[in-house]
Amino acid sequence: MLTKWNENRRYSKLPLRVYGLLLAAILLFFFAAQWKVSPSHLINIVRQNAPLGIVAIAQTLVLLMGGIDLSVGAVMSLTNILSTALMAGNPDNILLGVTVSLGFALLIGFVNGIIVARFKMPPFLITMAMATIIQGGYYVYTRGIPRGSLPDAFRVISEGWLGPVPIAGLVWLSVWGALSLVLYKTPYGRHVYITGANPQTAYLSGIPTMGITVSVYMLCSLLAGLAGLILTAFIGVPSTGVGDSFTLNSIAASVVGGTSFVGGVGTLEGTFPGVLIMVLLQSTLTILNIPEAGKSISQGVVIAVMVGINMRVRKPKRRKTA
Amino acid sequence: MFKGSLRKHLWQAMPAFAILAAMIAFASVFSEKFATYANIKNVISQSSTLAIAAIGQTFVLLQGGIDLSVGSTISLSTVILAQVSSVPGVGIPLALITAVLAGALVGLINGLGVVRFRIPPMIITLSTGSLVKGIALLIQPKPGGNISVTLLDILTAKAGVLNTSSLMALALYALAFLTLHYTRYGRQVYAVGNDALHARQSGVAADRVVVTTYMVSGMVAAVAGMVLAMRVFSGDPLIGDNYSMDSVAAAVVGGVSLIGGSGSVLGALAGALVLGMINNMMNMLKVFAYYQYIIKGAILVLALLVFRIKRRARTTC
Repeated sequence: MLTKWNENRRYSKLPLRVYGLLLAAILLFFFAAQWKVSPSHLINIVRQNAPLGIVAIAQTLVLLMGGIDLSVGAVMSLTNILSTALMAGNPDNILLGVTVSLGFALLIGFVNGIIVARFKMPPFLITMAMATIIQGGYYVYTRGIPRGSLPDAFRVISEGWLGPVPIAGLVWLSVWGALSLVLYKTPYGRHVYITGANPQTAYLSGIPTMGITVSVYMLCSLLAGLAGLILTAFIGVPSTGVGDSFTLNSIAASVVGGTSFVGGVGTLEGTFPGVLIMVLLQSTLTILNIPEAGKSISQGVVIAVMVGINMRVRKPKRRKTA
Repeated sequence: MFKGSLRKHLWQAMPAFAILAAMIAFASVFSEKFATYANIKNVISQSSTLAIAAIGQTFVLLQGGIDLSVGSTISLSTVILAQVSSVPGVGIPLALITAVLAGALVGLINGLGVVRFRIPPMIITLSTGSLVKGIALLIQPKPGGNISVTLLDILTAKAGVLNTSSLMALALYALAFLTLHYTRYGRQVYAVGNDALHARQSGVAADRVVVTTYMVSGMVAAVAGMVLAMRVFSGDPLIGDNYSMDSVAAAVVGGVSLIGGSGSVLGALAGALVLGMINNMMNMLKVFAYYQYIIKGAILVLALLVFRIKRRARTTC
């Protein structure tokens, strides 16, 4: 079964090592919590981290294509503020709030993609500048004081359960499933991998690399918008900067899951345990009473160490500027 | 007056100086408050933190890297000052030395990550930035702390429109200019940024050059943190966050190339002043303060588009 899965998948093998790491993270968490953890606690961890899970999938897509998106956190904050302001506690406005927020997310992804692809700009600087612009945008929109509230109906996303399965977790798993299908079973998915592995060759082989780049950035922003909406359902109030920590966390989760920074290597099957590893690590640090600092430190150390290991294992590749 | 490559590098800084001159002319025409003594003093003292941080960023950019840990290093430096400087007796020198050493250590980690582990510069500096921010939060979770008043008196002593901080900035710029353009080390920085492989083949210890530029950046960021701490008179673990991007923006606006090897540190000074002027002008013209985020982001994108990065097929560095 496993050999069948790994056939023709040199660059998207099932990352078993990451699942080993996940097991270690679970054990560490249990140890820190002195074994006072019930299975329902673990399901709750999956439920509560659906926003991170979805945004990490988005980040993985961009990394696979050879880019990076440092604006996902800002997009999440933006959707949080926009959707609550538009819904203003009225269930009739849910559709409006969702459409407008996701529309803005798509627009941001489009601009990112066009600037990166058309003008061959370094994606990390462009998306970083974009994050600042978005931040300024919502500060100007709210004048520093976010208003609005969520209708209770919207909170089904966070609080709802279908039998034993939480709806937030279900959304996460279906995004994962759908995008796995797209990545492994459609020409589009192959093109994403090939564009990431070698943009020049991809272009010369007749792959519309510009279209792929723009569409992946748009998809990434759209998913970040979705993650922002789910996050909003969880916290229930508008607040500036709620998404900020998700940018680095999404990169860390992708990288732990075996996605390479140089593009073309990685899987969504690695990103899922990657997210859980980051979350458990940070929960452990919270138990040890260093929440905020621990989050920053774990993100930094994990990204540096994982990329260092990845770069050592692979032969040094030609350095890329974009 | 200047010859050869130096003229070329300075020429790249010209647009920034032109923009700066145009902005000064515009501001003095449209607001009579701009050209007052108090306001000019204000612009200079507001810009000095960014101007200092941009020096280190320029060293790293010239060598072909990028340093996104500058912001966190600045925060860490303010926190160290707030915690250590008012210890009686040894406090002040100890605080200054610890802050600079911490900056150098951050730079060393960045540099070793790049040359030993081949981690892309933006990734390793983003990670160390996060790590350093966490450490700053561990040392002091909230803004505050005691900064020594003696130190404040020294660093805010005035001489005309300049105070000690801005004089420090000017001295650092002079030092950086001389180092980059008139020493062997400076020439090596440019050589590595232009073509690391050929530089290495010509006998330049490229790895050492790369690591030292990151250390320069870390130490200079620590100094920028001191200047900032003096201005707000407290330590704050998050205060420097914006300086990573702003310092890149200042250097890029000043004509320093992102792929390395061209541009001058004087351009970064002009770029930092341009960014500082924007804040000031928006206050003068009574624009809502939060527009500055939008404008700064847009300026970075525009500057990147104007100084288009010409990508060349290069072998690994």
